[in-house]
Amino acid sequence: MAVIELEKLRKTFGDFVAVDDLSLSVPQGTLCGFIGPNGSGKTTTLRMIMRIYAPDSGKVMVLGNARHGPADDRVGYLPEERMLYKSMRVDEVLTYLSQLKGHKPSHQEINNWLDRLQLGGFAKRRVQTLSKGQTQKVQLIAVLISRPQLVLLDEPFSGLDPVNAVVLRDAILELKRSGTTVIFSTHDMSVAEQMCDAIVMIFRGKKVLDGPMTSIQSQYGRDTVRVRLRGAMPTSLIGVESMINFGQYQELRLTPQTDPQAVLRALLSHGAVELFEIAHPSLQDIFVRIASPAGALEGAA
Amino acid sequence: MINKIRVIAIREYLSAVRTKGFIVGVILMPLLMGGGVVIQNFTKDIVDLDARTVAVIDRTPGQVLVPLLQRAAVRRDATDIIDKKTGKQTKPKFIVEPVDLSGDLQKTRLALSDRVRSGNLFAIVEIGPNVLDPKPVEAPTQPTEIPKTTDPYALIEATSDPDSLVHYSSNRPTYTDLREFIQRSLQPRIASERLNQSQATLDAMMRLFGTLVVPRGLASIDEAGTITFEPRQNEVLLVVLPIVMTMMMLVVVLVGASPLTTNIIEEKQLRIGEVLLGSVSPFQLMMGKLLGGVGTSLTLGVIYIAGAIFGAHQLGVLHVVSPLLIVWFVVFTVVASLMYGSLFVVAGAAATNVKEAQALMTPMMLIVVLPLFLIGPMINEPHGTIAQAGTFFPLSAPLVTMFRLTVPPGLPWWHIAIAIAGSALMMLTLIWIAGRVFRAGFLLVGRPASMRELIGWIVRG
Repeated sequence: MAVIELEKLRKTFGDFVAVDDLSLSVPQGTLCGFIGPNGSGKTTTLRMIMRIYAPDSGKVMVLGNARHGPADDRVGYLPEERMLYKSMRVDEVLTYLSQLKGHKPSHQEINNWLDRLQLGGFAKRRVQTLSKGQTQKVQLIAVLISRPQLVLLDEPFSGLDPVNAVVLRDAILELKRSGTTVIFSTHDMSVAEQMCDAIVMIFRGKKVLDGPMTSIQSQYGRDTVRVRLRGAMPTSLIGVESMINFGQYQELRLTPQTDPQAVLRALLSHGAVELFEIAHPSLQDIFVRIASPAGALEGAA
Repeated sequence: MINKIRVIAIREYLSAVRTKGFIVGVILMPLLMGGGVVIQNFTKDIVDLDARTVAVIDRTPGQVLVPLLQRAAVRRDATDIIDKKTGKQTKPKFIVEPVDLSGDLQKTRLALSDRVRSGNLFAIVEIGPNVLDPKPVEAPTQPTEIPKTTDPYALIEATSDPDSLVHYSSNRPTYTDLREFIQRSLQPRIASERLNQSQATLDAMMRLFGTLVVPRGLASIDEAGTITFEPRQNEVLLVVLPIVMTMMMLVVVLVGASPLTTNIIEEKQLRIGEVLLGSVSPFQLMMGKLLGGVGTSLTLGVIYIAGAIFGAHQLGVLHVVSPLLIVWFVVFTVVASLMYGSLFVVAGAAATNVKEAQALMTPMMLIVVLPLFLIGPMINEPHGTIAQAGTFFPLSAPLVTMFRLTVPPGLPWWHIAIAIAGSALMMLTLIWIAGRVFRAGFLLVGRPASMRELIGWIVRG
């Protein structure tokens, strides 16, 4: 059963087309990533799903209801631009935001959630005394404490240090295990690649990619090789279409019919090979293929 | 839906009443009011008791009026300026100094004026030679001959024999006690003399020109079958009471309503709006904020009204305000706070910063005080066409209806019903508009929305 169904969604701001002809379906229990560069239309799409923005045209169905709205207590939403009342205590703000979702949490429940997100003992602290990462975790608790069936998170990892990012990631994965449908937007494609079952890639307001992670990567074949070479990489290799330097390794895209073993032999002639891995293309690579002038919007149709 | 509005309203209310500003306001206002009374009581005993000397140029034949003034001053100093309980002097003594008329009158006037300027003399009174027997003056017959001036004495001077007037000169014109003393002391004698000249008596004149029409209560019959007249209503209070109650309502409304605008703008600037819109509809958010703000103003209102009732009780005028009228006052204060408050909510939803909000608040304030312009016509015709139109027009209904309720015989129940229903409908419409504008524009910070955009948001959402 689809939890979200969007049909030919369009939203403009003056002359600017933020989202255009966007249709998609997100099955129940999916951990779905909305990916794309900044300004691609991810946040606008999430806001239309939440009915914060009304679409100019198109249809939005959430949990089987076309007339749902923010007042739908089954949907939890963490916006990108998120703040809390600074003068309120953490337990007060959690109680307040939960009550707005029709749920009145007990002190025990609040403390359990705070403990889970490594904020034990913070219940009586004023929001203004929290760090940015701590505040973000409180905001996430505020979304999750009412146990929604569908959770929308807009750039949940932005601004988090690695430790807090791991805590947040674990919380999201636990939600998925419990059967909650989670959609989060991110411009960091590696995060989506590591976590998501399904991906929706949006570029310049249009959907350019949509589907399960495995099928997307299969669609692009095993034409990618990750390589780490001791010494300098050659600037070009026969049978290699492009190279992306990720710092710790290089990702090479091979031309069709190229034998990876031939590439390995060529690399060995340049120095010691520390890493050689035949892989599906990364989301970043797929995005570059789609967004490059030659391949722009190749998947949009 | 109602529950979410209640949750928002309670938070808004608690966050407002817990602020230092509110607590200081609650404590400070009664202190200021009480302090005003204390200061008044305290300062009323602190008066300048230096004697006031008035030079009197009595140009009447035989200078017959100076002794009269002297006797009046002695009598006043002995009785009127002494507090009977404490025996303390409460006002300055008046010393009447007769002026020798043997010299040149103009030089005398100048010398006396110089004494006033130097502080040696308080005032000069010059009694005209014909004051007891004024010569007839050719009175202006055409309206155009009457001087057009704001000076109330110009007409008297234009229509009187100048030698029949008493002139008073001082460089302290705001001090009226002495002038009134002169008037009070001289008038009976002068009036009597003038009447004698026309062969009439003062009593006869009083009977001719005294008040004829005296208000009386309506007749009613009691259980014993006796027909009696109801007590006459105090005409001053009948005018003062509606104005006072309308003003009190206006103050309570403005105290609670005007902060709503900045409150909503702060919500936008703090970027909390989207967090809340993830849980509640814009209508619920705006309505919750309105109710919270109105609750705050009503808390203040209850405190102030209780103070006003206590004050009225202390002054012995509480009986003129019926309990039913107090109930209506509370009802219409709530209605007015909600309806006018929703105007300020719209202003907050439409503005993107405080500066822009201030520009929007001016027309809002004008709308709120608009019914005050109707007070003039309504005092004469509290149930006339203008007053009725004000009752049926939602933006003026609460204030106008309250005003009319205070004036007998009240107004038909259906007028009250229309006023309340119209105001409620207007409030709901305004909150709906505010919600749509807030939802569409809450992320628009730093750039004011154009009128076209605002209308678009209202129409399309």
